[in-house]
Amino acid sequence: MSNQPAEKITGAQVVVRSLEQLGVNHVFGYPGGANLPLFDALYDSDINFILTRHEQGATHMADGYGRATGKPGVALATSGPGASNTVTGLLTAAMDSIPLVVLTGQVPTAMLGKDAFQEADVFGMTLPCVKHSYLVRDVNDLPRVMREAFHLAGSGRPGPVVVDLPKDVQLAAFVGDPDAEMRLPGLKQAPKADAAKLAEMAHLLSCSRKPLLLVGQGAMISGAGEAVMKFAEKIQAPVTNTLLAKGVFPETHPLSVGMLGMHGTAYANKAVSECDLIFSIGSRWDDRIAGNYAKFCPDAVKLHIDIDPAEVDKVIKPDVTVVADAREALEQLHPMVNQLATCAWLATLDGYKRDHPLSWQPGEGLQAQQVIEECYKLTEGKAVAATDVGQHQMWAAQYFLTDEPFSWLSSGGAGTMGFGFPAAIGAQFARPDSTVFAFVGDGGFQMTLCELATAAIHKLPVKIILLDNSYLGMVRQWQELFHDNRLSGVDLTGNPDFVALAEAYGVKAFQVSEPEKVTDTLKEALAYNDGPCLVHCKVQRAENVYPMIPAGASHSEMILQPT
Amino acid sequence: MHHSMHLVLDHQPGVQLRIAMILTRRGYYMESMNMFPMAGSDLQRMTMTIRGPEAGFDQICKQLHKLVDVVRVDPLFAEVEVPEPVSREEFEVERAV
Ligand SMILES: Cc1ncc(C[n+]2csc(CCOP(=O)(O)OP(=O)(O)O)c2C)c(N)n1
Repeated sequence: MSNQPAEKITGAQVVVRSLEQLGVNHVFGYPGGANLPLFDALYDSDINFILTRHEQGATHMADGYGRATGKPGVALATSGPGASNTVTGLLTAAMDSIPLVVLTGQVPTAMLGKDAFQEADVFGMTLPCVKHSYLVRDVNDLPRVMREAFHLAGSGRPGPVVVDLPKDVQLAAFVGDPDAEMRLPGLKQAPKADAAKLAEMAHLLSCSRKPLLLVGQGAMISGAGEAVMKFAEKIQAPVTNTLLAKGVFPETHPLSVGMLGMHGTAYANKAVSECDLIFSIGSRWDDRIAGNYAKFCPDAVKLHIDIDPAEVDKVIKPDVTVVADAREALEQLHPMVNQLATCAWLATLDGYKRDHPLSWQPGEGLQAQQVIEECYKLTEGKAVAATDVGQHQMWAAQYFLTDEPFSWLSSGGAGTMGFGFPAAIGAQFARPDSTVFAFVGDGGFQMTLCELATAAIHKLPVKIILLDNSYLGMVRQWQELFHDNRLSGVDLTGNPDFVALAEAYGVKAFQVSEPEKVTDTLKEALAYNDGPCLVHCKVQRAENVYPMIPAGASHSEMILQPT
Repeated sequence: MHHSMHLVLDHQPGVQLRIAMILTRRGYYMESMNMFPMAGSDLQRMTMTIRGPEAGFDQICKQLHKLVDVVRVDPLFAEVEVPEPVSREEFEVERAV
C-alpha cells in the first residue's frame, strides 16, 4: 500500500471506513458538537446509524447487540456529558465481559485540559470500567487504533474499549497507512491448556461420585455449549449454570439442575452444598453464586477453567486451575475422562427436583411468575429474553428456561437497572427474525423508557413485558426480610399510566391484571409485529422471590418458602 | 508489608494511571517508582515498591499483567530495602536550601 492515499480523506472518514471494514452494520448513538465530523462521514456510509434518546440507551443497545451476536456492538457519543452518559453502559459491559466499542467525540487537542466547552477527561473517567482505551492525538494512528480496539473488545476475555476522538483529529487530513497493523507488545496470547493440569483434573474427576459442572459466561463466550453437552453426557455429570450462562447448556436437559446462586433453584443449590467435586467452566465464582466463600463447598474438590489468569485463586482457591479457552480445554479433557458412577447422585438430585420444584402459589391478583411462565410456554422458549434488574429478573431467570446460547441478556455483574429494554432493542436489530422479550420492572423501565421512541420509529417488534408491582420490588423484599419490613424509599405509587404513555410514543399497548386473561393478552401481543408493544401487567405488590440464599450465607441456609 | 517488582511497559499515555488505579482500588500505596526507557524500543522499564496487605500481592501482580500496556511483571520476592523515612527536620532543611 502506498503511503499517499489517492483521495484526500479525513480522520472521521477513516474511522467510518474502519467500521465498515470491520464488518459493523449498526452504530447506536447521539450527536453533538464534538462528533459532527463523524456524523458527516456516516452520511456517506451504508452503516445503519440508530439515533437513540440517551447515550446510556445507546451503550446498552450496543451491549445487547454484542450479547445477542458475540461480536462487538458499537456506540457513539459526543464529548463531555455525552461521553459521561456512557459510563454506566461501560461498567455494565465490563462486569459481564461483553464486547463493546464506544467512540466519543472530544474537544480539539489544543483545548484539552483547558476546561473547554463540553470537555471531560473521558480517558480518565472511564479507566476503571474499560478493558482498554485510547485518546487519539494523531490522525494517522486511526486505522491501527480502530483495529486494535475491535480486536481487544472481542478477543480473549472480551470487554469494552473506548476510543476518544478529538475534533481536530476527526477533521485532519489522513496521510498514513490505511492498512497499518496492530501494535500491541503487551497483548497476551490466549493461553493453551497445560496438559499436566488437565491430567490432574481428569484424575480428580474420575475419583468423583458426586460431581457438578458449573458453566459460566466464559463458556458462553468461547462457544463451549456443544463441548459441555458431550462432556456432561459422557461422564454423566449434572450441570448448573450461572445467570449469565443461561443457554450454554439447555436448561431443559435432564442433566441440568438450572441456575444456582442467591435465587437459583433449590436443587442446584443443594447440589452445590452436597457435591464432592465442583468444576467451574468459565465462571469466576461470583459472590452472588458462591454466597459465603468460607463455607462454599468446603469438602468438595474444586476445578476451574478460566481464560483470565487474574481469576485464578482470586476468591476461591481451586485444587486445579487450567488457564485456557473453555471450549478448547474441555475438548482436550474429554477423551481423558470416562463415564463416572453417578447413578445414585443423579437419583438424589432428581429427588430434590421432585420435592423442591420451582413453584409459585396463585394468590389474589396476578403474579409476575405466571406472566413469565406463560410467555415461555407460548413461545416454547424460542425467543431472546432480555431482562432488567430486580425481582422480575430473577423470576424470568427461573421461569423462562433458556436452551440456546446468546438468547438470554441480563446485567449480572453490575445489576444495572435500565439495561433490559435498550438491550432488547439492540438484540432485535441484531436478530430481526427472533421474538425478543424485554422483561422489565416499573422501576427500571422508567430509567430508560425514552427509548420507546427508538423502538417505535424503527418498528421493532420488541415485546415489552412490564411487571408493575408499584414497588422497587427487590429492595422492598430485602427491607421486609432483613429490616423488619420498615419500607423506606421503595414505594412507586403514582406511577404514570403506562398504557397511555406507550400510546403517546405510538407504541401498541395492552393491560392485564386478571390471571385468567394473561394467555389471551399475550397471544395478542405475540401476534402483533408491526412495531413494539407493551404489555402492562399489574401484578401483586408484595410477592417475594424464593428460593433465596441471604447475602453472605451458605448454600445450606437457603430459604425455600415464605415463613 | 512492602513488595517490589520490575515491570516492562508499552509506554502509552496513561499507563501509570492504570497501574495506580489497580493499586488504589485494592488498598495498596505506591512507595517509590522509577521508569527508564529500554534502549532500541518503545518499551519502558519500571521498578516499583508498593505497600499493602500480604494476601493480595499475587492478585495485584496478575491484575497489573492483565493491563494491555503492561508487557511483563516480575515480582521480587527478596526482602525489600525500604528507604528510611525522611525526618521533618531534614525536610525543612531541604526546603530552606
Ligand atoms: C441503576 C440502579 N440503581 C439501583 C439499583 C438497586 N436495585 C436493585 S433491584 C431494585 C428494584 C428494582 O425495581 P423494579 O424495576 O420495579 O423491579 P422489581 O424488583 O419490582 O421487579 C433496585 C432499586 C440498581 N440495581 N441499579
